[in-house]
Amino acid sequence: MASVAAWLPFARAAAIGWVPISRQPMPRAPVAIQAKDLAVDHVSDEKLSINISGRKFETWKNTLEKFPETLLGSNEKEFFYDEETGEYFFDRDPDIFRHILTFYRTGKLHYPRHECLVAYDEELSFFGIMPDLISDCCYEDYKDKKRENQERLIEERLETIELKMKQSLQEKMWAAFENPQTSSIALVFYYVTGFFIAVSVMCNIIETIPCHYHSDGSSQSCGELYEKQFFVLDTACVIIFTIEYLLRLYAAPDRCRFVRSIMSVIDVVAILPYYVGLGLQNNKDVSGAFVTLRVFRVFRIFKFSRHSEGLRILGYTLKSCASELGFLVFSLAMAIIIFATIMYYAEKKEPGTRFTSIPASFWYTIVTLTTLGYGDMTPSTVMGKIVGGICSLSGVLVIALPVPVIVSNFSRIYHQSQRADKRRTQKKHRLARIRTVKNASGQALFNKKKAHEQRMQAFEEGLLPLDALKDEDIFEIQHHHLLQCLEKATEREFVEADVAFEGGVKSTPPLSAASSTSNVVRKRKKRSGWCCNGNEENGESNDDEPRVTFADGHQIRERTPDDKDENERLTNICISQL
Amino acid sequence: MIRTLVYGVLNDSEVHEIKLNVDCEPEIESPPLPRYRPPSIELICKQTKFTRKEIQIMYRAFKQGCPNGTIGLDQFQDIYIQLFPHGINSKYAEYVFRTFDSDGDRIISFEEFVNGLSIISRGSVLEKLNWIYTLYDVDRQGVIGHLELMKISQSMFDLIGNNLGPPVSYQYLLEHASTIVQRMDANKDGVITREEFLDACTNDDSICESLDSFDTWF
Repeated sequence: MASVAAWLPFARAAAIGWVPISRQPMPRAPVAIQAKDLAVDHVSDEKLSINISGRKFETWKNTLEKFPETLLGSNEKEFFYDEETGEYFFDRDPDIFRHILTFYRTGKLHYPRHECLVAYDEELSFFGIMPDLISDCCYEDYKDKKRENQERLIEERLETIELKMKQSLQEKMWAAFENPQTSSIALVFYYVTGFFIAVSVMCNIIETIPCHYHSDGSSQSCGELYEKQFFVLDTACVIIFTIEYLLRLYAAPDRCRFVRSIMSVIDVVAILPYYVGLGLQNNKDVSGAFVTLRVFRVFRIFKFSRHSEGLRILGYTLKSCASELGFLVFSLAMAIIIFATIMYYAEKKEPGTRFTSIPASFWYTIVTLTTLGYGDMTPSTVMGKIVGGICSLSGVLVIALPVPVIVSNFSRIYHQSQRADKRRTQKKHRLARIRTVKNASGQALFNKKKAHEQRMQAFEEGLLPLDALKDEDIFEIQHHHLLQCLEKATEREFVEADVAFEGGVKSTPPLSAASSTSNVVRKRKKRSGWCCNGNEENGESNDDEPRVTFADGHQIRERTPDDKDENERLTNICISQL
Repeated sequence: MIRTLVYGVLNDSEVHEIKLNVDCEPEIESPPLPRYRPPSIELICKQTKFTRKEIQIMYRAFKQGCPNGTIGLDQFQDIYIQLFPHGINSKYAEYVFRTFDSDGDRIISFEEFVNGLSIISRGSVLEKLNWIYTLYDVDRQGVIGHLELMKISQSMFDLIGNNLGPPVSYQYLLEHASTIVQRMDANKDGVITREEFLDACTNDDSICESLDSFDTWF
């Protein structure tokens, strides 16, 4: 990144190109520039000495002035100037300062991996450099370490907060539910609910085991034998679950979100069949439906996912690589359909064949492809056997090959997309932060320009002596003069950064002549006029005619009846070349 | 998704020949800019009107910004974007770049740079006007027409940005260009030749005065 100050003389010299086509003569160069003895003071050959805890660094003065919003680039460093030795002394870490000075030299801020993040951050904030300016090569590293650090800080803070803060009952309960390690009551609750989930699931299983064998060979399940006992157990479990659900509902900070969450849905589905069953018990007609509802009791096993971190992660990863799994299923489906079709047509003529339709062949194909081979359906024709052989051989390929590829890929893609998303959001925020700082300095530039113009005015009127101008930054003077010349050449004036033209690029101009002149006049009073101060006629014609803009080539210009052909040719050429 | 998955597999196995309806374009590295060393200071002193010290300062800044000794168009445009914060593009920078780049190889070496700078900041009025003429002659045809003047004007307005008003209209630029052509075109053939330009500008005092206001010392 080139230092702007060094290139300013070049930009000023190149500005002579504006002279012949500008409508107004250029303002003269300010006296401060013409006074060569002033200019000599600010020659770009001056070196500075910086002493950081004994280690000396030297650099050109204008290297540091590249970043005026930092400590070294602004007047703030004067506080650290040591007159006796003629150098700037800072009592900071010299190793980290090396990177900071490189930032001034090359415009890139690097983060050294062996340095502690906290120390580095402190140095950056001391020297007034935003961490967002860390260049892309080191930014990932920095952010990772920062996140680890923040997690550590958050844990520390949580521990101290819980000791200190008086949380409301609701908050305490929610914390207890979410993190059983916080208090002993939470731990007890955790184990009790876990126990009851296990009991409920065991009951469901044992209910169906045959307990008693009748003399005629039929058996009776335990559920029918010990109906009352199982009912009591079930009721107890359901009561516990209901209480737990209601407590969670009370403690939840955001009830709507809690009700919509997966875990609460599972809770509801786990306990609802019992209540429905209670209601329907008298009505024997719908007892069939009631029995079906009992199937949903198996969902209670999902309540274990609150107790197991691993289960939750598994569910999350399944959800996130759904597209990869979909690909696997799709390719499998393709293979199944192909082989089932061929099998069906090979076997359909065979008498007594079990391949009665293509869907019937699906079962055979699935069993063969997954190398299960039950043997309940087998081909009898030669063709069928050949196809069956090919099917089993390719079964290995179709099943075995995509799975490790997909597994490794989804872990890679998963991490990558996470990182890419993270990087994108980080970049957006970074750029926003850098932009606010730059805007602030842009606003500062405008303010300085106004102040500078006032001082120049005062000097020319004889109110200020030449010495007062010695403090003026020669770069600023030159830059302002350049901007002034541009203003004169284009007949517009720089206004405050936040007062932008309201119309924007695509606004339609007011059509009536009266309103247009009044607009121009009004704008001239409010802020320095935006266009064509000198030439009223142009101002009106701009407002009346529909315009074509070079910035946005999509707008079409209505042709005036005169000079139609020439303008058309020029328009076409202009838009295509610009 | 399927595309990225397959592409990922291909990347891993480094089999670039297989294309399964995938747009896998191999990344083309831009060729490194050539390293360039300028001639000696004495030679440059003789060719230009700068003192030895000034050349030293300029070269240090130049080398700092462009370590391999040459500057490309993007850097030029960057400089302009930094100096004119509201500007929307740096078309003017492109025109200046092309004028500096006397051998047309799309890079400006330090020699070209310092030669050009010597003309426009230390040259006589005639030399400066010649340089301006070359700047305006965008299509290198030897004459300046309406189109080129409008392009230069447009780039000038672009430097000041669109925050201060609507983009300048085609009509305005055309009119402005016509005024200038009328003023300078002696034989009324619709275009301005170099002689006509030099004549018209040297006779215009305000232009000559304004040219002086951009002198800078280092």
